[in-house]
Amino acid sequence: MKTWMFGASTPFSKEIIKNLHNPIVFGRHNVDYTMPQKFIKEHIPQYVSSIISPEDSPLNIVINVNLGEHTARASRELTTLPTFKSVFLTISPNIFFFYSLLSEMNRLKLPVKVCYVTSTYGNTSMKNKKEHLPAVDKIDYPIDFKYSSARLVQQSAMMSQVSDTCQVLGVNPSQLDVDDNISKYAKEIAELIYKSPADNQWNKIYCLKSGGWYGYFGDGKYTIE
Amino acid sequence: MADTKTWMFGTTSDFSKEIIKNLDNPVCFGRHNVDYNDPDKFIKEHVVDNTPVNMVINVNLNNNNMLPTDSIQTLPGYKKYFMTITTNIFFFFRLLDEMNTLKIPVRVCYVTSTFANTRWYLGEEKMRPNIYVNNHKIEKDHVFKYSSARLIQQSAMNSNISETCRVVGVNPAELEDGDVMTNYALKISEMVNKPVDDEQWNRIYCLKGGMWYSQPMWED
Repeated sequence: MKTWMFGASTPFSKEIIKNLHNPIVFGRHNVDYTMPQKFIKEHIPQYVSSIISPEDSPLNIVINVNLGEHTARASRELTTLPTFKSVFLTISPNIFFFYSLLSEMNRLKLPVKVCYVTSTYGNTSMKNKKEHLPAVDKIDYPIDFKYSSARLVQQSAMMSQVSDTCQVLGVNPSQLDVDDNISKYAKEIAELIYKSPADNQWNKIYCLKSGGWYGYFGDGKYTIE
Repeated sequence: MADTKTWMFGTTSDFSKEIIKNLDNPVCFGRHNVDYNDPDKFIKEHVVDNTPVNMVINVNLNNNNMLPTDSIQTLPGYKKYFMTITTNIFFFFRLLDEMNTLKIPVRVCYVTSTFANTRWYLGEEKMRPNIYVNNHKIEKDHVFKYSSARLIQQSAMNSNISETCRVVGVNPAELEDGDVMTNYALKISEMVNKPVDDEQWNRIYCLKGGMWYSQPMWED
């Protein structure tokens, strides 16, 4: 069983690492997130050559990295086009790193399962009838543009790589610092990453606090207009 | 409705023309008379009093921006993609922000997509089939570009919700000439005139399927 963990420095990452099977740990200390091709060149061939038994594939990847959105200008300060654009310049490198990595693994048809830490802050729920919508007063306040955009773009990047060989699952560690959530969430992530590729959990987003699932494409019939 | 202005953004597509037919004496804006790079110029010229505004937006986000298909395979290309789509999105983000500052009532109906929106369900239904398998064999870069553009657009609009600003996104799924386009355009014109306390506001609506998407932010 091969496992890569991205994100090494936070207490949450350290707790996740404890629960993984002999992971190779990557973080800013040994990865330049602005250079995915360098990482691919150094680590993919090594991984391929280490596959000696069926249980060595798919590769299991857990991702808990900062997108950098906290260093971008606050949403209320986005009053000019350059500052607005700067949000996306800031968040792009880390998101692109994993987009590139999964893109290359898809190109090589290397099976991979990914569990990445995200948020459900900007996600939607769907109702078939207007009268089933939650009361307006529950949602009648603005969302934070910067935070929701960063997480939604992250999810787009991951979901766009889904294929016969690539399965992804986003997890929201909501209220991480409350009670004993760190330990509980870390164990759950370790359980989720080792689920079978055939499990229906994949290609969704899961809230570790509420147990709510976010899926895509109501009935699969929608196309890009 | 003399006490309300109607602004239509987007004038050239057949769909825009059909929407315009159904609006009440709209002022039409498009690339011929608006520089989307300069929202402050537009604000200075057009946001001149406190008259409530009904706004319909059907503008291209440039997510297919004539860049080669492999353009987001490098970090500079990836960043360039965001630089391309954010101009039109920022225009409306800034316009609504300013209208909020001035407390000018505004109701916005904007054309978007539900392509990347999620549906929510509780654990016992987790076993629903895993259906996100790119049935249509759409190229992955295109999936990323399209879904990201629409989600950023929706974030920009939803981030301006306030006591005076209501927004609703509409997805004209499987838009085609004829009755479909006529019906969608009529529906949009009805929606933008709904009272501000209508449950439709601050949601995204699929004009084909009749589904509503709202943001369950209680989880954070």
